[in-house]
Amino acid sequence: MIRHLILALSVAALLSAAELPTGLFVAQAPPDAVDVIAARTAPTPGATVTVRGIIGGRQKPFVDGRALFTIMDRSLVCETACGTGWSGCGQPPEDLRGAVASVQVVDAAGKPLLTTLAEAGGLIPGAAVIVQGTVAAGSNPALLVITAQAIHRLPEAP
Amino acid sequence: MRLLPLDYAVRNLLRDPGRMLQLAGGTALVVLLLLAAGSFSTGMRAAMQASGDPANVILLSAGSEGGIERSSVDPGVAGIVAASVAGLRQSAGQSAVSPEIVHMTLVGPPDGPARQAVLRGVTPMAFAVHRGTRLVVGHPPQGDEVVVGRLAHRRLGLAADDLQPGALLRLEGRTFTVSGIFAAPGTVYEGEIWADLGALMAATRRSTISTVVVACGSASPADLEAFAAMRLDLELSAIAESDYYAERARFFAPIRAMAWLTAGLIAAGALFGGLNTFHAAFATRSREAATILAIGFPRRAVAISFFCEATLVALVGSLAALFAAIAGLDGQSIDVPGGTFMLTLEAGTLTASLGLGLMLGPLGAMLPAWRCLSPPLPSALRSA
Repeated sequence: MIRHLILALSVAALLSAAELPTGLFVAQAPPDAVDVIAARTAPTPGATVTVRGIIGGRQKPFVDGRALFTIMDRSLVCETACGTGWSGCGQPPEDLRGAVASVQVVDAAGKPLLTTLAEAGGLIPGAAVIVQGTVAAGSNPALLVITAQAIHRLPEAP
Repeated sequence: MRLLPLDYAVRNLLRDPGRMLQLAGGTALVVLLLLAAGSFSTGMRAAMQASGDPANVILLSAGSEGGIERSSVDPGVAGIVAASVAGLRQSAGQSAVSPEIVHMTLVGPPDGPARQAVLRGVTPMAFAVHRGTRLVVGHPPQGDEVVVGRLAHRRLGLAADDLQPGALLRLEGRTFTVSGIFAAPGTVYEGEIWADLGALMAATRRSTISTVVVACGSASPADLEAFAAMRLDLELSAIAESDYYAERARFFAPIRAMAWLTAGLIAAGALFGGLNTFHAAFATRSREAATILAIGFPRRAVAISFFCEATLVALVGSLAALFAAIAGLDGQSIDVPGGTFMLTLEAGTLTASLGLGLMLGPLGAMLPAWRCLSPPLPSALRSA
């Protein structure tokens, strides 16, 4: 009974992961990455961009059932007693406002895929990542949305 | 086994009416407290569950930590959501998106005392988004008008007749006219006062709203969560309305626990009081009990008679408490921060409270009965 349940869960997990494009998670860090704050200065929709950041900027950076997460500039991570310094909870809202971006993985229609990116490819809140992709339509200096083609998780800081 | 007749137990009860009243009163108090704690807990849980529509999503400001009262959202968000998210419920050709202010302030009649009340600034769309609400009488608020929930008068300490359409209410230094009464059965909204959004923004000198409540059609709450995560410039967090009120219910859990604890402590006190009273009652009858044993009745028969006596008195107390609860508790409104709910007596609470009340009698009589019947017959017959 338990073996069947584990098998069913494994199949479900595989099917869920299969929805993400192959090659999305890369072992090699894409070159010439810039920080989130720098990437937000003059984003051009359609342009290729490589951004380095920390998964966070809000209490719940991943969206359940949607291939979407938020990243925050690494300079804003702070050591707080709550252990969620990646969420930007210790930062003034005006500083946080200009240092966050959204990362999405989209389907052929340009909509976020109907799967979560949480724990896919080792992505967890607080993880450092480099995202390579294009600047999504509607982005401007106040709002940066990146449509990811490659995501690399950086190793933990020692 | 020969048993003593039941009327022996009844006659013994009536032998000392003062003692019987004391025992029945103690049982009634315990049962009443259990019923009150149970109806409080049930009413609050039911109101929180009914207030949260699973199809609704609440958009709050990102830094508000889940509290509508602390939230501050740009009024333009409602229009942006309606234009950006596909699959929202439609009402009269428009997306069911309700921008709202939730504001606690002092409200009262112009010539009377003011009390704290929950005000909600709304547009007519609020009645489409909050599906359980409907206008019973009057029309939606326009300008300096308000509609009041059916229980709002209790929160303000007024009679229902004082809060009919046409009545005046003073709040934030302005006078508003009651334009209607709305019903929202079983929800916390029934204790609220709903004003026109623009008028309440002007009265409270606010330039932002508290929340945007969105009703999903084919869209799912995840779509609204995705919207909040994509539009970081709006600084929003999205939470399912049912989750929001479930969280509020958890916030009140310590109050419910305190109510149960108080009832439990008083029940324990009553049990010891009952022990004492039964002990006094049976101790004076140990010679009489010994005489009954001497004429041939077994000890168990006398013990059963004592338990019948204790159960009868517990039954009287429990029934008195039940009638008092039905008359005085069921349907009464209770005000808590953020809303009003009704005390609700449900089958589970009734069964548990009455069961415990009936058990109190035999439990309280067990030890005194044993002490009364355990001495050897000769010494019991010689006892005073």
